Amino acid sequence: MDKNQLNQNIGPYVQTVNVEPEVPSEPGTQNIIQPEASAEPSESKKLERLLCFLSLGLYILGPSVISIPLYLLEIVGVSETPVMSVLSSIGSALGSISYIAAWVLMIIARVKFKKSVFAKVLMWVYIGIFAVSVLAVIILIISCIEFLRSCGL
Amino acid sequence: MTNMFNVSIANMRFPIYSTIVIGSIILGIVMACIIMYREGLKRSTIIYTCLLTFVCILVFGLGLNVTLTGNLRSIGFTGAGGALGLLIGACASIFIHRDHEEEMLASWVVSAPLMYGLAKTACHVAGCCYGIPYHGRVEIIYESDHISRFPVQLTESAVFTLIFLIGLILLLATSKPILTSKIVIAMSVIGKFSLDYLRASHYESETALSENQILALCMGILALVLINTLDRIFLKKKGIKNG
Repeated sequence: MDKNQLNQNIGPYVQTVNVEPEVPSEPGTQNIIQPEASAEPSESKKLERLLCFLSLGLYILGPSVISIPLYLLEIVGVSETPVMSVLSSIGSALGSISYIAAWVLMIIARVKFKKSVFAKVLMWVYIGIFAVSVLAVIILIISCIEFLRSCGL
Repeated sequence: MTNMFNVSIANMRFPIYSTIVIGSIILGIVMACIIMYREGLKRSTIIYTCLLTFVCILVFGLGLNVTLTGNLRSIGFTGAGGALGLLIGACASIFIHRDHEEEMLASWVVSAPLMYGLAKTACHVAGCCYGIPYHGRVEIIYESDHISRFPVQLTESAVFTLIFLIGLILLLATSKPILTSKIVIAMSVIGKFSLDYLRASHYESETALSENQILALCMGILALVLINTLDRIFLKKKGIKNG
């Protein structure tokens, strides 16, 4: 009796019977199937790495490439020119956007690939740097105020 | 007229200001978390949304002034920047998680007036954003200039806390998150716009509209356009779901 005919005769009990899939027994075909099965995880791993590296790139390059030269020019004293004013506006906007984009990409990586160690490390590094930055800004403000008070201003 | 509550404010140290501002932001985030939890959002969604929105509020709150003025020395926290950051953070989270989108948006919009209202107490303590010269039952005198002033910061605190409470009641009672968000934004813009007339900066500038009022109007329009666009996307999605 054919296998399909047998299944039809058994009816609902076919769900409990563990029927083996019809795999061709030629040795050559197994070599074709195996890479296909492992292709999916490697694709997702590629996407996970792409997201994480893109996030890291935006986190480091965005604010540093755009903002740090502007701050250095500000210290030198070129800030009074109108060109510098426009550059400051654009630099500040792009720096903020790239910083936020880095956070967004990291969170997408964390949500999509929950077991990703890279994304987890990125998240804790970002949180750590952010917390230290907030504390540093508060301490800087306190020290500036104390300095001005001591000068009698 | 006798002054019943003649309060004299000493020059307070600046750290109190930043501590109250960050504290009020954190309190607003906690409130948004409670609303999101009550609306049935996943725990991971709530945690990541809070993280992203907190970062956005601080980054845009500090950066907006520099972007608008083009002067790096003008870096400082602004309410409009914080509101823009909150909107960007909430919208980005909606597209990342796709989990109870309308409720997530409403929880952040409803919590925003609470953050602003509580942060205004910091202005009262620090002595910035003070009111017009005024002699009445409740007047504030700062030691820096010894002028009786209208307590506009405390009035803003009370008004925005009231807006938060109205929004919260509307959200819980009507279960119409998008409508609630629009009402809260409209009330906030009207509140901010009208109370700015009681600020000394507006009184002294002698212009019809101050920068704060223009910013408030722009932010309100931007928020309403954004919510309308998101609403259309949600409706489209629901239409696809229903077939």
